[in-house]
Amino acid sequence: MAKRILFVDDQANVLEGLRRLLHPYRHEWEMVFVESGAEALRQLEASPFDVLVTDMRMPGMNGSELLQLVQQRYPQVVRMVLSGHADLIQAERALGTAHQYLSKPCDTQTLRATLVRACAVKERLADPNLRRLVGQMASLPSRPDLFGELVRELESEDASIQRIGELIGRDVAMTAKLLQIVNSSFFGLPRRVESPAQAACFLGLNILRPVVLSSGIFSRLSTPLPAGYTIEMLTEHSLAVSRLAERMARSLTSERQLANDALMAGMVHDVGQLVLASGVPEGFEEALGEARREGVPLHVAERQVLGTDHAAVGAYLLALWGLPASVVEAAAYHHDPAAAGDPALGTLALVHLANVLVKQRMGPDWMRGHEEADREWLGRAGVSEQQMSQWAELADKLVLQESPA
Amino acid sequence: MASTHAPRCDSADLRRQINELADYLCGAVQGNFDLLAVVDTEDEDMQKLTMMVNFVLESARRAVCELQQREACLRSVLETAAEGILTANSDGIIQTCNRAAAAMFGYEPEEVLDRPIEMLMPDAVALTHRMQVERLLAQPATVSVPAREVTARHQSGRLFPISLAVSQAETRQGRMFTAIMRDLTEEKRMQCELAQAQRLESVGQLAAGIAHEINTPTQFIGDNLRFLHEGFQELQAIMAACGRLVEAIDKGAVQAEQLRDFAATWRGSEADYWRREFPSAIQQSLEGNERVASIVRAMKEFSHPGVDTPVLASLNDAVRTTVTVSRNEWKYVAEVELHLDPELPEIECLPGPLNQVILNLVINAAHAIEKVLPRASAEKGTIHISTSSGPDSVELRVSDSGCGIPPEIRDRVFDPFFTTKEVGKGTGQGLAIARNVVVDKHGGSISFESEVGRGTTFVVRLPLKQRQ
Ligand SMILES: Nc1ncnc2c1ncn2[C@@H]1O[C@H](COP(=O)(O)OP(=O)(O)OP(=O)(O)O)[C@@H](O)[C@H]1O
Ligand SMILES: [Mg+2]
Repeated sequence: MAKRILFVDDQANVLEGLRRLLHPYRHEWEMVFVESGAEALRQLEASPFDVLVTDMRMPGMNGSELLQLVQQRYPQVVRMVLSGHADLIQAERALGTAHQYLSKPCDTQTLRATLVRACAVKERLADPNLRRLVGQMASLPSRPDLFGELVRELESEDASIQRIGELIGRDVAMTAKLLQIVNSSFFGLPRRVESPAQAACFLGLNILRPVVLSSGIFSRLSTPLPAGYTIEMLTEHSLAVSRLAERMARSLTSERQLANDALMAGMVHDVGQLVLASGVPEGFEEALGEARREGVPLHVAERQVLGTDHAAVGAYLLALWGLPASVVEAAAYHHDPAAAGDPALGTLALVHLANVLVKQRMGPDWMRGHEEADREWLGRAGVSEQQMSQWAELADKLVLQESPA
Repeated sequence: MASTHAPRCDSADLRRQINELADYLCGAVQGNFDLLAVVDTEDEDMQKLTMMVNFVLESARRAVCELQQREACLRSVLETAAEGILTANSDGIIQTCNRAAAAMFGYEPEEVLDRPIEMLMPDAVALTHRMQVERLLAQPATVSVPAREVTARHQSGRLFPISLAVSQAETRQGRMFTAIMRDLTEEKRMQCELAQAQRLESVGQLAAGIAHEINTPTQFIGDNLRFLHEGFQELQAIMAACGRLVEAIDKGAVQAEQLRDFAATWRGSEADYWRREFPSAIQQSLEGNERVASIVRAMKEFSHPGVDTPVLASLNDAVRTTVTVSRNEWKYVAEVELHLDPELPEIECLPGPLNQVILNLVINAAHAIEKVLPRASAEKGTIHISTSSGPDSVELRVSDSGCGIPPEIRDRVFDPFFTTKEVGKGTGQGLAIARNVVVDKHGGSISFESEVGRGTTFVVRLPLKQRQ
């Protein structure tokens, strides 16, 4: 079925330009162009859309208002902004309600590729209810202690951007959100950043302050999580996977790219757990109980209880937010790399292996030792047995460093 | 006087005692109140008199003390006053001068005492000063001159602005004039900086809007060019097929298969679509390009850097420029209608500050309209801008269909920092600066007519020529 994209802009010339630019996609996409928010709502009411692309400043209903209504009424629609506004405040506000933010002028390639990916997002998560749940999420819960510390640091007179970057980098939700910001072309950042700390440096205090303190897109965990599951546990595991995957990448190549991607993907690969734990706590708790009782990996129990797992949910969220494909892939298939397709020695392979290596060495009982690496797939991807044991040693060292107790 | 109990006292004794009393009184007259009269006498009457003298001496001492204290107090008020305070007699000779006054002019107080007050004035002011004094002398002493701005001369010769208020009093030495003065140098500099800052701020605020105005056409120009580029590649295939066909025709050997080939290429292409879309893709790109160019031109015009002496310029151009650069500030709430007198003469003015005035009026108009528009409706108001000329001035009118100015704030809207807008939307400097530019810098006038619920018209009148 053709995907349906709705474009909203008060300038007819912009719509005409887009219509022509996207002419090559006319068979795959059904595109509707309207000149006002009110007309957009009429269209959405009449028939479902997959993607919404809207301008921000428009007479009458502006983009923010439209996005908010769509977020409430049609949460499964991928919400994107294409705006020529250089107004920081507006962009920040939009980041709470829009999944992705593109700036005018947006180059052809980026625009087309972003739309192609937005149209494909749906395939990552079959369950429409979960899609609605994730689509509505503006923020993910952060570790309360880290969040509190971040707020204090930002409010202090001599706030240090290094320290802020470091704090963000230690939290799964904040790292994911930061990557979303970095990926909105509005802030004009290189899309490939090295680390959360570096991304924070790029953004600077002037942007981060209002984003964290007032936009509400960063938030502290406020509802209790299911018994036996803590946000600290997730953080500890994610940090370990992130560091290990990065070190493994560096032992492979001196190119920074792979190491950076591995670092970031390692940090957010389990972000789906946060979504499930805060979005469908009962189901998640049941899956957790099952994993404990039956001694099966959590994602297997999740599939039994919820019909899907945190890998799919996390990948859906990250794709919705427009994170780089390599990071999304790593999150989607970190339990089952073979499902991703042909073996390759990339971010996914590293995160997959690092995840298993870390789980074998640290974490609560239910997490430990249930999972095996897909050695056959890794072998075909070019990881030798020797390499494998070297990385296992690396994991030993890192885990020892992490928990000296 | 005689008392039966009183011992007798001879007249020599009495005289001595009276003399002693007289000495005490003399000392008191010379200011020595510390001693009390002690008269060695047996005489009751004399004792009574001594007591009375002591009583008077004591009262006098208290009174003098109090006076001294009051004077010290007054003096310290004078001395520590931030205002410069100076008195002069009717001949213009400085009688007293507090520290602030002396410091303001770069002197010690002693250096100006008993000197003519003209030493503190530039020659031009000194010339007319005497006349002003005569005029004041002709009036009753109750007449005072309220604070006004005058130019003063520093000891170094530097001229500087002060605020000067003069009052007078009738004393035994004749009329005394009291001058109260405040140095305005810093205040002026702040005002200047404020105006500059507001200008920069509005340029900064405009910048975001201008970026939007440029980014939007850039987007669709790019989209259209990409489209033209890709369409042209397909056209090239058709043209190549045409070429092959023409070659065959030239050779006189067109085969049916070749014709079929060509027909297939033609039908496989979207020739019709391209033919329909190309003209408007090109047309819209050209329009977009013209829009970007006109904004960039207007930006250059608007800021007019570095002109601080009046030049001949067209008010109509200033209006067009300002309306263009501020488009993003009004276009969501209003249509702008221009009625510019094509015969309008050029005027001598400072184009940069004048653009600022027009900008402030236009933005106020847009805000006033935004206030009355229903939320989330596509309705718009109107900003009507016209120019016209009189014999020795030109007139600019900026009308809006906005909320109007309620009567109770009408006499405050030109005050610096008076605003009814929320933080971030207005600082209350727009009209204050407009008045400063129009009235003080150009010798023009600015006023408004307003009706609550219907709208407001600001009227700016500017002289054709600037006085030197
Ligand atoms: N066209 C108008 N219609 C209605 N009210 C007006 C209009 N122009 C000015 N005012 C009133 O006068 C006040 C002062 O205007 P002024 O331009 O000096 O400051 P401001 O617009 O509030 O702030 P700023 O211009 O510094 O951004 C405004 O807050 C508003 O209440
Ligand atoms: Mg104003």
